Amino acid sequence: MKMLSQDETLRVSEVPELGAANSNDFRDQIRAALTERQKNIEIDLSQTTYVDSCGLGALIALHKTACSRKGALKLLKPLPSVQQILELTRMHRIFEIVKG
Amino acid sequence: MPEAASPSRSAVLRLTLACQFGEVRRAARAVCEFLRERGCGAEQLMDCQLALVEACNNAINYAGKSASGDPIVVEANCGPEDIELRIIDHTPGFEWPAQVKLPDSETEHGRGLFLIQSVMDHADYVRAPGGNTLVLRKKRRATE
Repeated sequence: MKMLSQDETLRVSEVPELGAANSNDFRDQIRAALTERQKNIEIDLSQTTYVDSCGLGALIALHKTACSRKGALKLLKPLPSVQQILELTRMHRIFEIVKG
Repeated sequence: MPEAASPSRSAVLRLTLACQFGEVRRAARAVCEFLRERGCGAEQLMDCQLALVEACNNAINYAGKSASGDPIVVEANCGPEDIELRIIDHTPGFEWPAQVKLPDSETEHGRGLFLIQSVMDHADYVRAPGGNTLVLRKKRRATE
């Protein structure tokens, strides 16, 4: 996983999978990397081939973290399989999703 | 991990995995490969993988200390008409709700059963003293 701090936004990329085995670490690493002034989180999902309900839980937790700082969580370029899970669970209504 | 595979029209793969999250993806990949080799399409593979992972994650979450040493058994039966997945756990089990609903959008847990029911055609959870069995079925369609 790669994280890049830029002004008020933390950009996350190179996340191969987001499931039960790594979702807690994923959430905790991103929270720990946020600086005091950062309120937005952008997660590039273009390389994420797999997300399960635990991965969704981590995204919801990060969404709440960003909202508590008056910012937003943005998901970039999810693959069709991941987009399907976001839509099935209606998460596409709460996350800002930028399609590739 | 694989124990048996039949070359007949209806082939069965049986896997035994430790009650750990790290084992689940490995088992799901093995089941996907097994189904792919038998001509299942990409959409079916994706759905079966998701349902299997959610079922195994659920079994691990419910294991508690008493059952965490017991393995989870996964059986994949690929017939000409449908795919059947069986997930056998040794947890206290739970009551499968009559109607599976999504939790509130801010809730971080509780979407596994909803996803299973959304992507499979049939789901039945049978509790028994020797082990609980979740039976999942999906109709096969032409390879995409």
